Amino acid sequence: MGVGKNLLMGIIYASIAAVIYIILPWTGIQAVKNLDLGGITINYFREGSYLNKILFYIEALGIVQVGLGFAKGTSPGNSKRKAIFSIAQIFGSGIYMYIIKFSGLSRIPISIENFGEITVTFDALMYMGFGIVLMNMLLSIFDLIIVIYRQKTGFYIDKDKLVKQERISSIANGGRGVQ
Amino acid sequence: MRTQLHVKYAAIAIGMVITYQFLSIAQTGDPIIDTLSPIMSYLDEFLKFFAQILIPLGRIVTEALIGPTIEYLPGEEAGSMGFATYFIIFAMIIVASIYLNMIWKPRGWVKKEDIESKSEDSTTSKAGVSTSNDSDTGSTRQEDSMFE
Repeated sequence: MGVGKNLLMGIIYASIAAVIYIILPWTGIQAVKNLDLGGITINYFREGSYLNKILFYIEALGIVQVGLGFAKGTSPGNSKRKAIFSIAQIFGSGIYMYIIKFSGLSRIPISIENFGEITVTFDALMYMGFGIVLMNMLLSIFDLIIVIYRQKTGFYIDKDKLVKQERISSIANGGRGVQ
Repeated sequence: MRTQLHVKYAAIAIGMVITYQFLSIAQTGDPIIDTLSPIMSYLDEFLKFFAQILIPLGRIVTEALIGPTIEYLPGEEAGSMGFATYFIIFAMIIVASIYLNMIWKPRGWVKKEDIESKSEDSTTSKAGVSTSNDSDTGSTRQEDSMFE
């Protein structure tokens, strides 16, 4: 895969990361700010500081995730770089989840008519999410080890080296070389 | 990178279960939710099975790895400078990845088996061409002999 294709893949990965980490959370939060389900009202952001804090972290950490997605996409296949950037992206998503959890997004205050107010907490679900992050991270580290091992043992061969060898051999044979 | 896909599918399955779980909490008399509610107990068991493994792991990650890292990150209280830090990190990653693509192994790595199979294919196809040429020449020779 050449540079142009790598950059195109990077743009695609970055767009996916932008949708997952910035656009969807942003629009989702804006949509459920004050939800009325006929008698049940979800006042998600009664305190303005919570909203500002969460939106700041969605933008700030989301943009870093977009960068990491671009780096992962531009990395060539079966390379150490790709595995390293995927580990970084998974770690970044862990931080993203953690900050959003402690900004108050995992606790939803619900007021029910003629009953009062309850707060539904999703802390256990967030911990489950962190568990998935850890498993993903361990698998990515495992992938990195496999890639390093296979590159060293010659299971994977560097395409750049192959192209250079082809050029040299074609020049030696009297041709003009591979363009 | 194939192993990672299984976890992604598991994550999607868990996400769906969580959605069903949330729907069971927010019952509004909707026919779809009423249809789904008998399945909730089974889904609950499924979710609990995953929760028993994943929640302790999640606690380890938050307390040992992510928690200490977050102390060093600038927050909202830092103002525009706080956001600038993240933007600089983003710009650095983009520039570094473009630079690495320009100079360092942009074509990537391929399996040795694939190259070998390709080279074998090319040699067999070349051999096939040469035999057909031979047969062609053979046929012309036959024709020539007929005219003679």
